[in-house]
Amino acid sequence: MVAMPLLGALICVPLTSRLARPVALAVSVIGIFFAGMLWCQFNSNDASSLQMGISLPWLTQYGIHWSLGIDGLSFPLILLTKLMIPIAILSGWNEERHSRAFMICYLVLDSAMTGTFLATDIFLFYVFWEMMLIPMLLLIGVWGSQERIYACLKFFLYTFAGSILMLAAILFIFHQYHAQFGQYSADIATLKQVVLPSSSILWSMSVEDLVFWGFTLAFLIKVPLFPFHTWLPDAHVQAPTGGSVLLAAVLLKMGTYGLLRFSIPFAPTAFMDSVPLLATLSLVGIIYGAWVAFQQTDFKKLIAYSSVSHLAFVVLGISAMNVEGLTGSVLQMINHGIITGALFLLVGMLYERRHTRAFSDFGGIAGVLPWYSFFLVFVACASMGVPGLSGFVGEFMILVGTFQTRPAWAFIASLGVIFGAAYTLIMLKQVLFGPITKSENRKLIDLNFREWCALVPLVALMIGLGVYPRVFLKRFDQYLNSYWSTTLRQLPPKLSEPSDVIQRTGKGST
Amino acid sequence: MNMLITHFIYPISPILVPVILGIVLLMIGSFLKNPPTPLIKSLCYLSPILSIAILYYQLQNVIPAIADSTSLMNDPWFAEFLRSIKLDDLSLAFFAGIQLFTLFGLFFSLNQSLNPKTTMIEMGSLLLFVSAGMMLLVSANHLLVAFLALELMSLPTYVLVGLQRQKLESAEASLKYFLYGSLATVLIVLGMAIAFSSAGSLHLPTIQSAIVSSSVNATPSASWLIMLGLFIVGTGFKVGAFPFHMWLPDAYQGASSSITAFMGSAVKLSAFGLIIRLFWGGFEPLSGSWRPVLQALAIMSILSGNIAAIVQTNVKRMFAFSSIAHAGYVLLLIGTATPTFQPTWSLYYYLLVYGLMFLGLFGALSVIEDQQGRVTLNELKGLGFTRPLFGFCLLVFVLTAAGIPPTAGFLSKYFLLWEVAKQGYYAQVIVAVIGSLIGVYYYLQVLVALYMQPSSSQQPLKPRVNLFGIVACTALLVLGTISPALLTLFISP
Repeated sequence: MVAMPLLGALICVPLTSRLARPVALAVSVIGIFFAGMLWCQFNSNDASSLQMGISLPWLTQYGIHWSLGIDGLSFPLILLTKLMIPIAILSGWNEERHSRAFMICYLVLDSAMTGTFLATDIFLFYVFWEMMLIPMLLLIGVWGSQERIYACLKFFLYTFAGSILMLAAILFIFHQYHAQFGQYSADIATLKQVVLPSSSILWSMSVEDLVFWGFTLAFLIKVPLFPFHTWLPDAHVQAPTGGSVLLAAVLLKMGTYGLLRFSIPFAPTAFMDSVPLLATLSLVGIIYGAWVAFQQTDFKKLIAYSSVSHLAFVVLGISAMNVEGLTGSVLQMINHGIITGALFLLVGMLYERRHTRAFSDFGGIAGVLPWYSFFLVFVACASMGVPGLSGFVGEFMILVGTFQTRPAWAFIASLGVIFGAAYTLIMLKQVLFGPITKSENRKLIDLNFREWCALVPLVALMIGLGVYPRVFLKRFDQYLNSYWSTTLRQLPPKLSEPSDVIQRTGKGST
Repeated sequence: MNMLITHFIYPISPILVPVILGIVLLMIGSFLKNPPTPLIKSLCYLSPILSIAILYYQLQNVIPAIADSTSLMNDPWFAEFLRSIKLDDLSLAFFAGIQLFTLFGLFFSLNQSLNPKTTMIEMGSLLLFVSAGMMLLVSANHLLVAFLALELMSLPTYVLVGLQRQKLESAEASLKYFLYGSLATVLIVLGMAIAFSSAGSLHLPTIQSAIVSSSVNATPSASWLIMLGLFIVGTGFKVGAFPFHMWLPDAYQGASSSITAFMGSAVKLSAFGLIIRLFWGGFEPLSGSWRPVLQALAIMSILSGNIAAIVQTNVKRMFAFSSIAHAGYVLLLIGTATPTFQPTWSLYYYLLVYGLMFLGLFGALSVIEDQQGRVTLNELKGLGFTRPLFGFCLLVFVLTAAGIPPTAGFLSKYFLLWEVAKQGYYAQVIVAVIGSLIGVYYYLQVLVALYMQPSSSQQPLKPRVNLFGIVACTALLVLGTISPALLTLFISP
């Protein structure tokens, strides 16, 4: 599954630009079939353990294997990745500049993203994690708009800065494991057994804290949580449509995926100590992201800041530390991927027609583009969290989860939902309704077949996940239900009950 | 006679091959009026290929030690010779690396039209002599042999740097390199004199035992420390570590790119070979003294090299500074060794990957230098799309230099830091990774020029025959990612 898009990229190399596009699309559609097979084969009763694992020796003297596998956390994200790739490729169909290289970039990105979610070897994970940056850098830098070089350098340096500290933390964990167990291993499940010393070494931070922040900074930059979010608006605004779609739908999820997969299991005590900080940052992120989005005059920037706000919800759900919050977070990850992906697609369609993203250039196009307007309103409703559409379910569960532990946090977060509704409605008003002020807008053409193909599956999913998320959720909820009890298992027995944990951290912050 | 061949000639034949072929080449030059170019080229290429073949044969079969032959050992000349060179697994591995780099160095040098056609024979034979000197250097077990080998390596290199006599830059680079290099040699000779006065011999194992026996409570005497200081400065000059690096950017920039390719890969590899022989070998009892010094030099090299490279627009100069930083990483690894912990494999792999990257990159730059006259970021603009294969190879080299996964550059840097972390030097690891974060900025500038800016030159670039060498370097780097063990065939991890 990882190798397939890479093979596809190799096939594309000798092809002409005209042929590369269908080949890339075909490869990505085959990817969807693979995802479908995964859906059927995945054993939902055993979601918390690793399935379909394969392991090939790579650098065995360092305990490093080429091992992949899937569990209840990577399962939904893999499905999301495989779904978004063909949509991104469709959105870049009309790209004239170097379209062959464009397609190759998408396919390499596909490989790297799939690999990141599937890797069960921490070294392999790091390799894929970084490998992702290169095609994304090229996508922004080569096919982006005017300020693209600045944006791509900022994107790359920011994320690289985070991950290089993660590398130091990974090295530390390796050697700790060797010191405690007498052998090297890079297997994530095995490495979790490491007990990190809790003696304080630097500014009253323990070793465990340092390792935790080594990992977490990398992930928070990727999420991006306030105050590490500044690369995101630049990257989103400058990236081509497909790049924005993948960036929003998949890449940002890697941050929260990493939090759940690495930071928390490796350093549970440090995580619990920093829950108040994480929650505060995410609350600031929710409100700040929504407030800044409110002020934007650029369509894409507005969506970028709304991403900041929505992903802060995910972090909030994780820091609620209960099953509802976690389930909400994972759902919100998927929903945000679908909804924001669709929003970026819609912006891209408008940009292709008008070559501008400023709100002041639009207005009143609802009459000219009825179908386009229908989809935009629909997706915007999902983004606001209108009940019945998918955005609602995730946000609601996060709020429920947070309310159980910290009613005040939930209250502040729900203000973010109101802000969200406000800026989304204003966006709709400025783009779609009102009088037509620009004469160019009168001659716009409505959606074509390709655009329908890209939008319909996303909208269908929004309805499906909104009305009956159970079908999807039951495939992996066993993982979510057992997550906290298994990851916090290492702690002293007094703290292993989530309610105790919450009281403890609660006292710490008040 | 048979004993002589099997126990003496055969073990040292990888060194003899380039010497003999170099002399043959000079003979051809003096007896034939207009020697055909293909003949010269094929003779040049023959030497490293033959050497590698012999080395591979030696790897498969046990080399008979000279000491096994009593008839030879009775001869004092052979006994002395045996004492002064060391042919072990490590030297075999370094020989292979040196010959591989020499092959690529020769290929790019002989095909760069900037290097004068008339001096092709001299250039070829000089490169062969340098490669012989380098092999002798990494197998030296006696300081006098090390000195001779160092000179055999350095003197032809000074000439090679100044080969384009008409160009002011080249002459300046050559002179600067010569002056600094001679100073380094002088310091090394002075260190040798002190070693001789203290130990009564220049034989490294003898020096080692003399240091051990003269130390009281594991504190070495002052004369040993002075000697150590002189050697650190001298070898520091040779590898271009901070603060002895001032000659390096000028020399790398002034020489034609193909010669720089050779210097940055092979010369650096063998200079580090010498450092290992000295510091992990003879001077190992002094490790308490050199470990902090080497680490400090390493950290300073990493930071200063990477920071200075940021402002460069000349790509050759940029990568000269980057090579200072890379030398820092290697020194960091050398500086963490203990008698029981000598991570030769990681070191060798790092140097091999770095060397291949450097060769490929400067081989590519030599094409641009030939056709555009100079190599700044401006000349690289748009090459990623106008010359896709050429551009892709450059992309691989730059990512390798930056150490970004999934390239071999990442793996090598990872293994290197792994060993450093294994010894518990986490502060150094963190500084090193921050250094490479700084480095990413200027490496990205090259990528930006390659892929994100429109081409500025009028005539399209024609990579011609050099493309084979560049692609071969890329292929070896890819091999190094997929199977590091296969790339480092000559050394066991």
